[in-house]
Amino acid sequence: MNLEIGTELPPFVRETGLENWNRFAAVMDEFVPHHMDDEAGKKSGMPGAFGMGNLQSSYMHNLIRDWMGEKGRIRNFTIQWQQPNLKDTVVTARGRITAVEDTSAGKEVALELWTEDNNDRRLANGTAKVVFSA
Amino acid sequence: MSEASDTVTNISEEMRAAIGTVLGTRTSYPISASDIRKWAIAVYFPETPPERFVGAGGPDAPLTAPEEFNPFAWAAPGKKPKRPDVSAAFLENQLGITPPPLNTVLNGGTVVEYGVPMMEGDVITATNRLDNYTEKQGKRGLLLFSSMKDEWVNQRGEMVKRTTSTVIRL
Repeated sequence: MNLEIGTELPPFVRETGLENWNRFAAVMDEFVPHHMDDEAGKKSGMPGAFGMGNLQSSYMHNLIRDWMGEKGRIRNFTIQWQQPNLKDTVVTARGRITAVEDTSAGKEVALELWTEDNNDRRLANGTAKVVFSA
Repeated sequence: MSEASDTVTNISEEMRAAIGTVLGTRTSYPISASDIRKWAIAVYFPETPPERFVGAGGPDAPLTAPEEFNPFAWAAPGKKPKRPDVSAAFLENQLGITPPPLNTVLNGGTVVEYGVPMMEGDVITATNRLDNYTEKQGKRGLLLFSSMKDEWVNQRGEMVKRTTSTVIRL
């Protein structure tokens, strides 16, 4: 695995809409009208229904897990939401290595993370630290 | 000097005294293999999640939960269905104190520190506290940052995760 600073993680990509959001609502018990109904989304000032912020967090975790495999462990994670995930857009979670450090626990890799849609809208920014055991 | 900067503070003595107060504790039912599988299927949809999240499970090979899995989402002992308080005063309403005179709420982000993973069969206990109130001058006036710290431990007392969530009010 290439752990050089600047290396980009293989992106995690999903077409998003009610099929994803209803499944996430079902496991989170998050049946909020503006995530399920266009009219409710419009009342919240959006063009229609929009996705859950916590699903953006899961997409960033999926990105990290798919990249690190079972040898890595996520030590910490941060997220700041920027804009909502609009219906019928393609969301891509991306990441880049920003630092690598040898620690007593193993190699600790710092990541810059973000999600964006196919209209060049940044949805969320984040960071994480992953440790690969020696 | 702007009108907003004339406001010295929105943090009352009552609010300051509440810092550190436990907002609530909750304990989950044992995490089932089905809970883990369903979560993984939802967040990886429409593709298949990694095998460690959807395998056979059981005592010989318990499933590992994805890091962001929520064992409190549906039923928990003592949990009663209720509508969430989405008002700008939600925090002080919970504390039973007078809220600041602010009406707009923004999500300020989340910081998570992970400990041991959650496994099938684990029982998670969470303690949520008011961590701090701070203020900063922003373009739209004086911003009130309220942070809450939620600490999860498993049935062996091992730290599973600490989540600090911040809301911004103005």
